[in-house]
Amino acid sequence: MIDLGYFALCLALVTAGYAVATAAMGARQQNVALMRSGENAALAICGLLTVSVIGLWYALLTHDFQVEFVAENSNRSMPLGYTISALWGGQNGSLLFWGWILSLYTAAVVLVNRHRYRPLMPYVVATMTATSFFFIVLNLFAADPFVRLPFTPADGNGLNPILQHPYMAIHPPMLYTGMVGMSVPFAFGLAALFSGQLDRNWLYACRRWMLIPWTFLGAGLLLGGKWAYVELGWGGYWAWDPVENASLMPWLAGTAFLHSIMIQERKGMLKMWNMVLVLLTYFLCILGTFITRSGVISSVHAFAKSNVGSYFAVFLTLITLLSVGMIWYRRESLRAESRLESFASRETVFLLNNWILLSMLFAVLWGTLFPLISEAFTGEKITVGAPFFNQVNVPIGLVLILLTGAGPLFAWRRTSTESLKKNFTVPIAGGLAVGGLCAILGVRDGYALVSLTLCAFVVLAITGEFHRGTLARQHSTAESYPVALFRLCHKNRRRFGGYMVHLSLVMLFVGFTGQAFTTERDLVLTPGANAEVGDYHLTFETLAQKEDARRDVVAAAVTLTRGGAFLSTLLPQRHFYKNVDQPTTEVAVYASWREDFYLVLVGWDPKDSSAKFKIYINPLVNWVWAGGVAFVLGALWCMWPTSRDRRLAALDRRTSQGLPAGDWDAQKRGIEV
Amino acid sequence: MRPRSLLPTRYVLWCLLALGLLSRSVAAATPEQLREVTQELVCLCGTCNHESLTSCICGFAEGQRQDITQALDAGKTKEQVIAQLIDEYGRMVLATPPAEGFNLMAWLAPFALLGFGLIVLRTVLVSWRRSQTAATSNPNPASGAAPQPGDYEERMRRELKNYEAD
Repeated sequence: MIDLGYFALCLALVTAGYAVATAAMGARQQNVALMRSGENAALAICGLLTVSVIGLWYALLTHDFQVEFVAENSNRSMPLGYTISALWGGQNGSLLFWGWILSLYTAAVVLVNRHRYRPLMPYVVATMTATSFFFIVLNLFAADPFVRLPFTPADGNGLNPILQHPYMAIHPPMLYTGMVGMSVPFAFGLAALFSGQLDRNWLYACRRWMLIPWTFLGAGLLLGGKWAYVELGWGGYWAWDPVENASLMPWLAGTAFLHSIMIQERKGMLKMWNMVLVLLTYFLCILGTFITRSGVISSVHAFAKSNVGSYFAVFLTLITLLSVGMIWYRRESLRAESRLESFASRETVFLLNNWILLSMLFAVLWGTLFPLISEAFTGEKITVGAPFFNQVNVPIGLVLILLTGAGPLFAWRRTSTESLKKNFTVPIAGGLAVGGLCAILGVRDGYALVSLTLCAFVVLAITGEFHRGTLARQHSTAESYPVALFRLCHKNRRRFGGYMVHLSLVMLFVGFTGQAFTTERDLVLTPGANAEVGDYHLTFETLAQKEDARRDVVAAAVTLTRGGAFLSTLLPQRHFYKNVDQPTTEVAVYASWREDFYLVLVGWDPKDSSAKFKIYINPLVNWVWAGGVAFVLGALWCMWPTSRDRRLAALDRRTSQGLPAGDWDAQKRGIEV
Repeated sequence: MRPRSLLPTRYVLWCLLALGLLSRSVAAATPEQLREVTQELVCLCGTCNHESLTSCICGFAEGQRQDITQALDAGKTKEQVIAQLIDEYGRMVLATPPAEGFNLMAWLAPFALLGFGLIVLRTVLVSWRRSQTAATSNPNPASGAAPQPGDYEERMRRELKNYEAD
């Protein structure tokens, strides 16, 4: 199976070369047979890489420790789930996994668009298979997961213990699906530049294919946060680690793109800017991967150092040159006539949105790279830690949340003073009321007050949009309120799905604000001892130890009560894996909507069995996770195919098959708003 | 299966490292004083990636916190403690770049770009507005005939109609 996997990888390389060549030639010569051949080759790559991945999985599951990757990242005692997830637990396997996801995306794009976007498709296929080619080269020459050892070890080293966690089994695939998926909008962008077909088609395709990876990336980021929260034991979920930043940056750029394309769709403006954004998003994905994989910046996520970094540096340079060159080449076609009817318009707010998202992106990028820059100039190593990112990004984030609510209240073209007054009065009054209430209730942190005020403002602003829309619909349809609300959201999926995402952002911000009120305590308790933390009462019952084939587990049993009422028995643990010095942490959390009681077992004294605990009371953390769920639901609502999408697709199919579609252009115009 | 004591030596050693100083930490310095110092520092143990020294739970960080507590107990000020750590580990021990010299750039650049972006934005908007005024003096039917969207219901009806095709 291993040989088969390796052989499939080699064949995939040849096939990818063939696919790039035929798709590009097909496009140049307008030769349909060549284009189709390129597409079929793209499907073949997917099949071959699937065989390759199955080969590696087979080696993992059969404990073929002669394979270096298997010996380094798995062992006999690991449960089945982690043996499967070990595929992306190490550098080489995760790159193969990356290439495989890319080939799945390519196959999906080819199959979905057999009859659509025909002028663009050969270029899309060429771009995506060229990217595949790069990853296969990487896997064959720099990060071969099928390399064999000269001997067969009796057992493997096992997966890094901190990765042996359910969230770590799903967080990387989510993130990869997000990062890799950004290559699709990138490919459509480049295809538009190459073909010169810079009409709305590429934009329409890009938006759809951007939404999917963007959602995965957002969900992946939050799952990573959840993992850090329960596994690393420092009481938080976001540490501004370089790798976290690396996946946040493309998400920010993608968010900017999803907003500013609306201006181009409506008014044909910002053609150049949107192209830059879509290419930038992908650039940031590869830059992030380069940062992670090359070890240029230290990180908890850092993989073993290897020359993979230099491959990525070359790839990064190539896509930059290609992107900049093609935009320059098409600069005349990307020029657009731009007009603004009023400063008080949706257009202005969207530009403000782009400004704030890109400023945040730059702040994150700058902070991530600054240790390198500073060392290059001054020769001194310095740290740019979480307090820096918080201090810089909190004010920027507050402007962002303000725009989240204010944006939808502005109309396209111009907003009259009366409607501004009408739309803003309630949200502003409500926001100030909530802010005042918080101040009276004893909130003294300035940022937190502003944040809560703005959150209330946004909730009122957005729900106001739902409410007014529903009333307007009721006015003309005589539907009941819930039916009208549902139909309104259903008929305007994009718009109201977007609003749902805005509301999820409020939930996230409420959760973030909670961080201003975190309290922290260190306690040393002997068995049977009690302590009070906040209004919680805890009793340290006992310390227990057990051993299984994988690890030794030390757990403390702590009974938690509040006001005499039993809440939970918490079992914070430390796990000592074989062959690993540092123990991993398993935090115990008692969570409610108000706050989390977060308990870490730091250590213990073998003499008197006393244990040392670290306790955090983290307000409002559940709002972050709930916001994450709401984000995914809102995004799904947005991207769910509508009847309009289906009709457009059907029209395209008829025309590409040469069937009479009636007055096709007129129909299409009627459908495309 | 070989017999094992309740607490195998391997991690007795580890937790002694982490907690061996437990018995003598009869701290005069309050947890708040300790936190004031540690929140400006990171853990430099090499495996936990510059975690804040306040929250890092590795053995190295525990030891550092003990040392800092002792230094505070001995009457040293926060500044003296930090200065001593900088002597020992370099300025990498600070959680944020010191706001002086070249490193001031770290703090200024994000806000400089924010301001610069705002200026660019303003310029763009003004020029767009100008081309609109130039165009309306030469009226074109598309923009001239557009209804004034002041009335929300009118706007809503129009947009609903727009989306009917969904």
